[in-house]
Amino acid sequence: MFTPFTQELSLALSKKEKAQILGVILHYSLEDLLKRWIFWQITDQEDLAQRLIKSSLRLYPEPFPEREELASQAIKILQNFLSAQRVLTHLSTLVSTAKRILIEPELYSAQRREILRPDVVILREDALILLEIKLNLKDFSEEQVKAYETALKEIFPEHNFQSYLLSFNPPKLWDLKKEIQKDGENLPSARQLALFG
Amino acid sequence: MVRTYLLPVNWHFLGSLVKLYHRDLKEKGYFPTEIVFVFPTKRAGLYFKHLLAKQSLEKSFIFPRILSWEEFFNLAVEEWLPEVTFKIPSPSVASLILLKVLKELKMLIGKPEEDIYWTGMFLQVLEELAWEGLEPRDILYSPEGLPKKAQEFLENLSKCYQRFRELFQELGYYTKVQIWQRIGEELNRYPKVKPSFRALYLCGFAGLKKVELNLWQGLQCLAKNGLDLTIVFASAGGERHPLLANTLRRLNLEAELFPEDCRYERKIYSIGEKTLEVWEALDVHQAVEFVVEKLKNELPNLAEEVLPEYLCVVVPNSDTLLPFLKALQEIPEAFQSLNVSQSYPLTYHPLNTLLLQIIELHSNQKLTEKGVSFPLGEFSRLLSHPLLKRLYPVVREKVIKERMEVFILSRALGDYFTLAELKNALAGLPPFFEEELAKFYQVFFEAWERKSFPRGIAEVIDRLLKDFEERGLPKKEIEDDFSWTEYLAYKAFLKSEVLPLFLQENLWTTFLTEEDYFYGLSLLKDRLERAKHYLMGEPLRGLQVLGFLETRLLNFKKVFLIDFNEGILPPRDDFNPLLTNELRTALGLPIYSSALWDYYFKTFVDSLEEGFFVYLYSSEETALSEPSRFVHWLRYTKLKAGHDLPTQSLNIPIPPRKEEEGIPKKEEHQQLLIQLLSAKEGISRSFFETYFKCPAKFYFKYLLNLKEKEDSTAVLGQVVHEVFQNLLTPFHNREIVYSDILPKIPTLLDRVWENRQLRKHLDPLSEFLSKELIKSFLEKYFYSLKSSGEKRIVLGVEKRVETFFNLPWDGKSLTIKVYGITDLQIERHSPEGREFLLLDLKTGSSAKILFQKADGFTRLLLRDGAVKYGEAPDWGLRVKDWFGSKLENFQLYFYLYLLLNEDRDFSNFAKISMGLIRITLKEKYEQIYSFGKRELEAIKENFPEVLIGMLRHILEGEKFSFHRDRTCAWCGYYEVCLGFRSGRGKLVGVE
Repeated sequence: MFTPFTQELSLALSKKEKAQILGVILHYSLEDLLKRWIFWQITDQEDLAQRLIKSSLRLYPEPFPEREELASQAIKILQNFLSAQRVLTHLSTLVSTAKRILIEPELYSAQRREILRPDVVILREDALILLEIKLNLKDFSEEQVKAYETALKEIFPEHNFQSYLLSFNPPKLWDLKKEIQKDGENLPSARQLALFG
Repeated sequence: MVRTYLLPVNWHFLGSLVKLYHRDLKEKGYFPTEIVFVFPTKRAGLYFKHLLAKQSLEKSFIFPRILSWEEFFNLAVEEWLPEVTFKIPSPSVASLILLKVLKELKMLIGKPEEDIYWTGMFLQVLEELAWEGLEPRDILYSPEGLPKKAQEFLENLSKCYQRFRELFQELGYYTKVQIWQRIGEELNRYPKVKPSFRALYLCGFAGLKKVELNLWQGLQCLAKNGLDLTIVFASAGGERHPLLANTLRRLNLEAELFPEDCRYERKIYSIGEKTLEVWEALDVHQAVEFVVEKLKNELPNLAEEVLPEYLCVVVPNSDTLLPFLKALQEIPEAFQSLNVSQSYPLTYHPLNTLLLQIIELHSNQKLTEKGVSFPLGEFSRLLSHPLLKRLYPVVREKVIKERMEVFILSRALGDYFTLAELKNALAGLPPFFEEELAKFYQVFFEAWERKSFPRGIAEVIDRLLKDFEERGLPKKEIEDDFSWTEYLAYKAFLKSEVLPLFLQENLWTTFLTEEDYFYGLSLLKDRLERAKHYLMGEPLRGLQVLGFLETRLLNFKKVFLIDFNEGILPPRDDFNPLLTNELRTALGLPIYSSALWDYYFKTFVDSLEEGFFVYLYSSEETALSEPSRFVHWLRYTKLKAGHDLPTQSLNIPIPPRKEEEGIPKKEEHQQLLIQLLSAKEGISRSFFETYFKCPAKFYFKYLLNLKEKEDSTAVLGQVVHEVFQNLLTPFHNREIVYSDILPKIPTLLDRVWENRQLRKHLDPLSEFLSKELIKSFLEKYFYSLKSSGEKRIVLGVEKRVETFFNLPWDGKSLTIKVYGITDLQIERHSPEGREFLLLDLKTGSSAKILFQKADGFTRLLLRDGAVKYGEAPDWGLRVKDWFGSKLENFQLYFYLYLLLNEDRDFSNFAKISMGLIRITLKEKYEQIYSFGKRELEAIKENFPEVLIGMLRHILEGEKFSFHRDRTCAWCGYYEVCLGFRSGRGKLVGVE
């Protein structure tokens, strides 16, 4: 009978888990990076990683006993990510001709009658790129991406559509269509990804 | 560009905004995410999204950015302070920092609980100053009557504030106020800073604090440089409420009526036309049952999707949430998608009460020559906590229970013990018991030791949570059981608000020394005593249960409002003696006004179509419940429109207590009474008084032997008695030297106060005020005696007097012993000669001598046989007629009778008087009634007849009838009495 409360409370408790917080911090840092892409030149990965993580941690109020531990973990992961030159180049290409970068835009899906919040949507003149960010590959949900795709296709029917999965661990940008064509060897849920085709 | 609109809430505030949004989107060609809407609450934003989705005509779309003010803070930081690093401290951390400041400035008094309490008060002052952007100045002449500590704080305000701020900077902390302030400065200084959005809608805000005003002015500067700024104020009936007028004036803005073409609701109701009902309930259960009954009729006919806009239950008082949810269980379907936005109270969660008892045990430890020792009394209480036995069943084992009993009973209750002594008492048991006991020692003692602090506390709480889960105490598998949900809420509260504070050791190392360990315990206690978890809910479907402020800017067809009481609507904030109007003026802070709540309530009423408001009411003069002031405004507004708004009563009244109704007196009761009368210790005046004031109370107290609930006033009375005894005993058989007494009062009172542990009964502010009142009374009383020059000799303090008389009963004669403890026996010297004065100290405000009644009764005693039993048809009424309705004068005669029967010579005294000392700050402290010789003889001779009559009435009367007067609600047996009368007047368990 009390399921609504139980769900809400379980969610509130899960937000206190370290892994969850780590994911949120990294998410936030990468989005921050994308927002400021044109202003920042990545010459010093460590410095940039530190600045981004510090900025992400600002809104976690004290006391936050895990602050130092999580910050150092997050900096390490982000620094590693920022060193992955191929990923950055690819990302750069995606963003360079963007007309608009939407960070966590809220979409209403008429089909599902719910509000969706994809991580990043890059709008180009005639194309639309969906970027789903995950700390670990195992967190990827095909159903989630499919829901975003359906709603976005309805909103931008004239646009070409591309979906990417950006993972921190390992630092990689996965073109979801290509991965499917490769039979998704590298993706843990490749069999499900085929559904996108 | 700045547009400022006044939007009548009965146009449907959010619906009309949706229309404006669509119009602007079309006309201005913005991309949705270039538009930001900001609302005062998260819920208003969620509803706005809901309405946008509803009007999307089955098409997917991108939302504009919709934020609460809190979320806008995050956006503002990203936009305008991207490179500034900071940490925002929670209120607990801010308290710790302020404690450190006070410690540095030597302004702590060394009593952790009091220091924590006052730190909270001081923090409020600093916060208010910060919101108004004020630099504090010292209050050199702080108001009299404030505790010394508070005066010292006000006198050193600027120093405290400065050091507090310095420490903040050293630790890299910023409060939200400081960040808002910086953003405001940034925007006002560099108005060309371009934000990532092109249009900003500030919707539904009303009053602004100084810091917020600066920020808004900064946003106005951005508007001059291209930001499309729209400010929409919610208005009741389209009127410019004084609060809005003030805000507009401060922002230098003029508001126009919201565009007519964007109006959402065409059917407009004025308050006169609305269906409004005001109901009165006796208690909260009646109120929630009323709402649940109404919901039973409504809910089956409504789809889940329709509900959020159609119906809402407003629960302004979070304490009512639990009874409401329990009552709502009668409608299981309501729970399928129930949304609650209100704090869930958790103070009485069993784990919380257990933790509080453990803290009490450790807070009261002391260092003896044996080492750290714990109070036996607190330990016994802890052992009796029901959860303890279920968590650690080993304590229920017979052998352990017996050894524990021996351990406790072999010591005096006020004794202290060490853990080693306890372990020794339970040593030598089989290994399994030893292992289990080791866990018990760890959780209840060792983990709380200073050396483990602060991390040990967090770890032991976490351990308790795990044990609680492992023992399966919250019933996860039973969905209908509240306990699992409550447990999750409690766990969420601990994980978010308590554990982090103790896990972050660096917070404490900057503050703590060995002795400050107790501050940690007190801070933990303070947090646990206010345990609650805020539930957020989701508004897209289902029944909405909201706190009052959550209803802002929302429109509903039907609203049920519970707790429509003064003190809740508008709320009565905790009184802070440092923020009185006088001090606010001195500090330059705005004077608190009810304008904000007036505005909230009027817009609330304007936003609904049908409202059912329930308040709790008690007809007793002394009751605290009174209807909200807004009831009168509603009635007045309705009457002006030509409609009445009568209050309807939900009370299915418990029939008024009548004299003829009562608990029937049976033979077994008579036998019990005879036993009581024959008891060796005898009977006191209270035996008689209790019966004749309320026979039912007498039944509960003497026959059922139920202990009366003791309140703090009883303890205060004991304190005053003890102080008097200590002050006057040294003058036994000699003249009182007032100049010796007066200087002793403060220290003696302090000592007795400490021994009686008054802080356990009262919050620090009440404790301070009560103590000041008593001190002031004692000083004034003895000073007045000193000034009168009257010579007094102490003949006895707390002296027992007793005698016997015979009661004819059942053909025999029973010897009855009666006794009393006289507070003071005094020899007074006056021009008329020596006087024997029997004085009784009274702390209750109703105690007094009724002089006329005393004259009448004394005359009656002089008439032989006039007080014999059986001469009056109703002895009960007769007794009240003689001694007063509360038997005020009974003690006067009873004690004199006892005294006169003592083997004592009173011939040297010109007169004998009986008097009361009343704790009052008025000049007349004593009431004295004197008797002549003849009258005294009559008392000695005839008063036993009165006592015989009274006892026979007690034995022979048909019933223990119920008494009803205005003080009934304050009787310690109130609940028991109501319980007896449950079943709508039937006397359950009697027949």
